[in-house]
Amino acid sequence: MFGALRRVALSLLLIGVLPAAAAALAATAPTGTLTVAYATLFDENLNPLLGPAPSKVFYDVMYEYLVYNDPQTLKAEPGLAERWSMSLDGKRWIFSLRKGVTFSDGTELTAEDVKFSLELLERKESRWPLRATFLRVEPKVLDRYTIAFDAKEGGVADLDQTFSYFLGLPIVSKAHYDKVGDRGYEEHPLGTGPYRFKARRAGDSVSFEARSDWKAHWRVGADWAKHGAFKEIVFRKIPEVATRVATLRTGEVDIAELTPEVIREVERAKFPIVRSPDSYVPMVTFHGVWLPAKSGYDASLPWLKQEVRQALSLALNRREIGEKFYFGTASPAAGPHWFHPNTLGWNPAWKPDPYDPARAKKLLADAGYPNGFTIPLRLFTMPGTTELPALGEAVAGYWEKIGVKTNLIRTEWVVHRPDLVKRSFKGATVYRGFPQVEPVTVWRLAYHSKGDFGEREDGFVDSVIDTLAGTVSGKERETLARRLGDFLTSDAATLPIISASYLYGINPKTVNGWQPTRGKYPDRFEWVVPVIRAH
Amino acid sequence: MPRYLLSRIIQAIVTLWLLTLVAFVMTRLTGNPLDVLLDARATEEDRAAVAQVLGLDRPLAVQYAIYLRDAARGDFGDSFKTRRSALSTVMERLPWTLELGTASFLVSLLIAVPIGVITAVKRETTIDMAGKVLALLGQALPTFWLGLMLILLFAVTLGWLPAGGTGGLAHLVLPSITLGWFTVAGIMRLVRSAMLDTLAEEFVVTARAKGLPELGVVWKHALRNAMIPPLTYAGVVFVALLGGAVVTETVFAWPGVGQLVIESITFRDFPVIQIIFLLFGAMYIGMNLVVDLLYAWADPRIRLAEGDTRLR
Amino acid sequence: MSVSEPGPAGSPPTSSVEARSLAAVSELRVTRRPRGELIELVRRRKLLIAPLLVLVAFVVVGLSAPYLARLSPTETALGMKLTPPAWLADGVSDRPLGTDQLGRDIASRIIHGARLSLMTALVGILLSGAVGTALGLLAGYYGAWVDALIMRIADMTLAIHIYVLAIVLAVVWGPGLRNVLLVAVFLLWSRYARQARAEVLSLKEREFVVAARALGVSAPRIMARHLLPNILPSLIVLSTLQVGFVIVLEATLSFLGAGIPPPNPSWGVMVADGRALIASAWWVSTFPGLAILLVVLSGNLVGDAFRDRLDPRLRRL
Repeated sequence: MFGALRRVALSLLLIGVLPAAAAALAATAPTGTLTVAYATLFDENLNPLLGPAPSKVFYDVMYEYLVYNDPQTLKAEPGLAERWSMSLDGKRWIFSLRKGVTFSDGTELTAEDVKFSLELLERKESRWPLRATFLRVEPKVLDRYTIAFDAKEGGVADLDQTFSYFLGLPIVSKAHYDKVGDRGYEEHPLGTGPYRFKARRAGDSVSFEARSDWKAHWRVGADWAKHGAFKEIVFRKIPEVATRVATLRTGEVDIAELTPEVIREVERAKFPIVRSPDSYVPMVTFHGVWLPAKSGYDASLPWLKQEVRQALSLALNRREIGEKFYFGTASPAAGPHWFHPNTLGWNPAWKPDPYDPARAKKLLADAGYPNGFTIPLRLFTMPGTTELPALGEAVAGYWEKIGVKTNLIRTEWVVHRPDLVKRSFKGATVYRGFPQVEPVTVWRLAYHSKGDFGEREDGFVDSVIDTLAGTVSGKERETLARRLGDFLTSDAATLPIISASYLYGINPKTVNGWQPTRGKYPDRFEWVVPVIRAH
Repeated sequence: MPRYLLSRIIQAIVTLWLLTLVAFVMTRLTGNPLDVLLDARATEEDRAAVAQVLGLDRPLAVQYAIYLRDAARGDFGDSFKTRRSALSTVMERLPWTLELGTASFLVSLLIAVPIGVITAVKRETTIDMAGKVLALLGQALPTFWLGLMLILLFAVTLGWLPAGGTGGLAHLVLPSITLGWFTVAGIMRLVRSAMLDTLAEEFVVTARAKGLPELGVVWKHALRNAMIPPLTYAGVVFVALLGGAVVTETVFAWPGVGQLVIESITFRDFPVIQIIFLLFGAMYIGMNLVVDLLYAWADPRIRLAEGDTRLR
Repeated sequence: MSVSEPGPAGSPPTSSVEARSLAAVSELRVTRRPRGELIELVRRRKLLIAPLLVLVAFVVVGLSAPYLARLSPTETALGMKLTPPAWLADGVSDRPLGTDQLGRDIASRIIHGARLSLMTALVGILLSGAVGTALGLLAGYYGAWVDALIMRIADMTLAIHIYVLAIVLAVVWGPGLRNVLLVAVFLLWSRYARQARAEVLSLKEREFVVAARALGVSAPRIMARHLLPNILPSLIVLSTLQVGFVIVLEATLSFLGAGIPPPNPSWGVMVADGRALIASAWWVSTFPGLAILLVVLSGNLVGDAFRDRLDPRLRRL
């Protein structure tokens, strides 16, 4: 009798418990569609061979990387690689891969795939920006889950703890790529990420859907089970910001990329604005030939004098710019180009220049320009920062008040860049910098006399950067970098204006939470938490 | 007629060839695609490698010759950006623009014809002026502003229609009103002028004098004749609409060829820019040719006039 | 590629219709004076007073801009950014129409913009008119291959995708007034050419022209002294209809980044720059937009009426 009773009790229990359990599971399975609107999707392509484009906003939901950044501190964290180490002689880095990671077609990730991914981007037709760096190392498969990168010449010590190069290497499946080929891969890209590619409409959208085996996913499985996630993500291209805001307000879009101009409208419509904090620093850069020995040196250019540049900096009312131009979403910035808080070389003692037009005028007079002068100012937009030309007009307005007239030239980066390389532009630009996890490469580009842009060619600068390249010790590197930074700051080589954020409007009815990464053109859409409706 | 036909066709081909030259020169003037495709950190070697893949390392004259040779076979090169064929890049976007163009043209007719008729019948009254103002609004307001205002009113404030993108018929309404309103004034003038002509004709005056009902006179006879001029120019207006869709497509995030114009120039995607240029050029020249030939066939004086207006 | 009507001021683009409709006009118009026509026109249609006044005001303001506008149109003042017009809350009395996103006074910018727009429109029309009329005269007078050549060149200019041209020019030259003018000429010259040509075709067989030729007067002299004065009135009418076109073209080009660049206070730039602010600071783009609207409407209404007046068919009604 007890047996029958037990059986009945058990079945009653099952009838009661199972549906509840099922409901609990169903409540956290990915649901709904997240629509994200950007001004441009650049390439809409998912083949790393064709380049990441300035923004790889949608790569990150499908591809994964060996190492990840902490979203706030930018420190390296394990990704597809569980741990890594450098050999004592600085000639080899070894990465141990996580076991059991699968591509969305079910095949397992191995060291062969990592090797293949690197070699893919080394191909002649590759447009990957760090191709030259990749060519410095040779990948070697040590065993199924271990891969080594050997320096082809010299050492790889300067690739430093943060390993920024490999941060950006999307891991592609060798077997799959070999099977479908270059053209086939574009229609059927494959990654290890929590989402897989669904469809693409040229000039309009790229969409992804969550993998059915998401629960077992090493990165998102546990979180999604707890907080929920979106079943589908659609990235839409809407070039006009007014239309983007309109689609946010009508509910057609859940997250919209904003510009400072529309902040008021979005706030008044009661939509929360999410910021990726301290993500970029608009600044004034000065150009001309700095070293008297070089051809093209023109001693008459006023901005070659440190006092003049200092004066131009004091003329800017950074607080007003942050509050009025950026509606409070930006704060005054300090430090030279390519130096940012929490990254190599940052000196907390650097403070933003105060607003002091009187002193600025005096400095100008002392430097020999009591009646001011005229300076050409080139203005262009960069991806994600379309307000730079308008900011340039504001800068021109401040300079006019101390007697410096500006000749505004509206152009494009693509037109300006060759002039930079040729050192043929003499004037100023309004440009922007963003935190680099591994800044030494950029410093070489920007400051070294052999670099493409050489904003501040100088014997001292050259020697510091060269030494840095060969230094392994973290502490020594920090000291060297800080010396460089201190020099550049006192030199006023570039004038940082404010520290700004990328801005996003989100629909609170559908999106519960999202925090994009600081610094990069933001991402982390796989972590957007949906609003779960009770049934 | 055959002589006229032949000479016009030859002229059209020559014009097209000239257009390929203009397209080629214009694209090369915009700068170096490598600066867009490759990151600032790319080395000279990287750039040289990609230049070779894209065919940009050859001298200009050679590039042009290769371009012409391939174009004659229907191969317009591969897009620099996507590496897929430039022709298919345009063809996959063209249907959107055609859809928008057709809807806009219909909207244009829907607004312009009634206004044209009414202002003709009520000429020189306040109604005439009001009708003209209404028709002119589409040209007196910048297209982008009109579009944004419509979005703000009908999508955001009233919530009746979507703000952008494609979808169903609802998504087509605002963009086609925006684009269509632009050609309303021109069509209205044609209709109005044709109506005025017809209304002045003898038998209309007679019919009125005889006391026949106004509505019958106006609507049955005059209207039919008033529709002829705008319809004969339908083709040319349509092509003009397609070319002018750039602004409307940008405002409404409509993924047609108009937006492709901006994308391809931003990316210095020479093959795509060239083929768009040629496509629209060919459409316009073709349409013009057809209209001219139709008129020449209908009115013999024209062919003689154009071919034979020498001084005697 | 035309961005608006398919042909000159809405009329069909081919030779036949032009020749037919304007032949009659030419017959009767030889003796008329434009000014007399204008006065007659206004007398008959009181409704035209308003548009005419608008046009006059436009020209007056444009010419006297520096004296009218007290505040500088280009001086930035971020502290006063986006101040509403004076009659709204938070408005300031000495910024009657409010300020824009860089704190500049909108009223001053509109006044200075009038001058810029006026100049742009005038120069654009003069250039296209000159080029178009000259070529049209040649085509009509000489006929044959000259005619065919000029007509095919007209076809080609209109076959060029105007936005591709505009953006490429902006990339190569940088944005500027030059670009707007070049694009305007590309679009408009053929309208003048076709009109001139059609009228010349019919005038050519008139007695006074035949006589002049028989007397051995040179072709240029015939064109300048006999033909041009007779076709001028209709070309002037055509021009009033194009004023609005050039102004709106400039606005659209500014939207694409291919027009006159900031900080110039052209109306087109003001509307284009303020377009993201329509919902939060409507005054930045609405006031210049209204200015454009008024000028374009007025120009068109006056021009249309004038043209109607010149059309003898309407006299019969």
